[in-house]
Amino acid sequence: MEDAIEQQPSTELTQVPISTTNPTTQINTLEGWIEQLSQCKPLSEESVKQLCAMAVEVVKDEQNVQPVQVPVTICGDIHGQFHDLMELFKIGGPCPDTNYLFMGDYVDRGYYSVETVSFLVAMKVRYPKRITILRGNHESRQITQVYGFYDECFRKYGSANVWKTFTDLFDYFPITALVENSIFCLHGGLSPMIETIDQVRELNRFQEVPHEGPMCDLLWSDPDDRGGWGISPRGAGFTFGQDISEQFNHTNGLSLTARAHQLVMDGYSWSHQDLVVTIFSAPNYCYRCGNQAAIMEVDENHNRDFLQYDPSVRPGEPTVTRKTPDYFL
Amino acid sequence: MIFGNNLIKVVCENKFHIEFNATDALKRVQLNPENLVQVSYATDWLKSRAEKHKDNEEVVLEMYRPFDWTYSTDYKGTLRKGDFIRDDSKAIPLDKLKRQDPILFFDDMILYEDELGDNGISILNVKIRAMRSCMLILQRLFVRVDNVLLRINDTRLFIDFEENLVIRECKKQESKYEDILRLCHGNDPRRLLRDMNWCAGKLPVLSVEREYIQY
Repeated sequence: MEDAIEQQPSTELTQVPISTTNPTTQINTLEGWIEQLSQCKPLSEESVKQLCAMAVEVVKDEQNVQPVQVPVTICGDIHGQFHDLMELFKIGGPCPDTNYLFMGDYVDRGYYSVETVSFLVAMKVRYPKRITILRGNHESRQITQVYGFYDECFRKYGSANVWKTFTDLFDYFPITALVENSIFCLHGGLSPMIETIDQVRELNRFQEVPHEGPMCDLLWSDPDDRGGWGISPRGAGFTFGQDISEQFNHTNGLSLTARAHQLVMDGYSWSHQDLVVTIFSAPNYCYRCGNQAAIMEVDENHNRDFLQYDPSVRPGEPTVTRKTPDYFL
Repeated sequence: MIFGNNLIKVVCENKFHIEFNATDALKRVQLNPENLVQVSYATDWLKSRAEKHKDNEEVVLEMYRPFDWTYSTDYKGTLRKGDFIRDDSKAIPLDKLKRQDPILFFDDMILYEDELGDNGISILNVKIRAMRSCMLILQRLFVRVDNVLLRINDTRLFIDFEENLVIRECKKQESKYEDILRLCHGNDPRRLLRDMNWCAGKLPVLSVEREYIQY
């Protein structure tokens, strides 16, 4: 990995001062970054700073409930599994030919959080109307310090600067999206403090993901078989039952709530009698769970279709990691 | 995630038979535990919620059928044949295990794991290595509840083929999270808290029990 950073081909790519260049140069720069990232080579620290500065300008004006048009392909957690993200674009069709909506959790757990989030952010800046990237509970300073993104940034860049740049950007990500006033998309789930989508519009989202309150719930809560609002035995966090989903979808004239956040073995899973769908787009999660991944295509006529896929197989990389014998005691 | 097909089975003719599997391990996770572990921000969370939802009858701030969500287990294998004799003085001979005899068989696998809703990790892992003169199985439960606690339950099964001896040792270790974090240094101190082996060397030992079978 460290090698990849040093191997950065053209220095002029990274040294163009974006703010003073004309739009054509900006696009060329972006194309260069995307090209480099698509080979799983991280950008330089300076380029990341420029990219994130451009991204802030794009996402800060998006809405808490970002409107999205059909056709669109809706995706769940990626978690740093860069090569599987490339597989996703193969299965779903390349961006910008296909419109995408990602529901968060780009970083942590997998080995390539830096490349994954850099790529998605670069695509967002390049094709702002074609790709929507929401915030997941892992797009947070606290969580990334525990589950790998901080660690990875430090290893790949020798400092926490890139981590800081990205986590500052995450504060601007929209938290939900609404596909044609019909499918409400978000990372976690519903909140007892949110009855109408308009209430989401009133939130101040430009902050670290809080430990409680409506914004926290939207990024953290889970559907449950049990009715009503439940509390996790962990002592924090809500679960919501079918009655809650029925009420919410009815009040807001929705056909569906689409969310991510939980591993599901087939890549997607219906709950609450098809009022809620969970989509998970990291196949063989953590390189060992053996699950399929899925994305949900919604076409011009609002027909839904799930595309499932398995982990990308790459030459030289074992599909099953066998640990080398050691003299453990 | 339950890795239900993973199984270690050790059989010695008709004298001894022990297995390690996920289902039996999970059966020993407590329902309605006396000391229910809570995430670090649970008190604040509940307090603020109680305040905000006091007028809303739909929101019942009561936990439904609590269980030990850290999936801590005191499972030490499923003994299908043989009787252990308790003797805490019967230590596993480390000198024999420290010899770099060729390892003839090795495996390392997970029986179950859970991300604790991004509040840490709970993982039950089994490793086995067999040499010509002896073999060792280490089943390790590792629980880290971020900002709350660290817990390790180790079960070691040592079999000496030369002495016809089986020793089982169960060791429990636990500490407050902050006490171990204090021992960590560097740019990314929490990294060490993801390293089970490092933690095993630092956590205070609560108890050690040993038993053996001479077959």
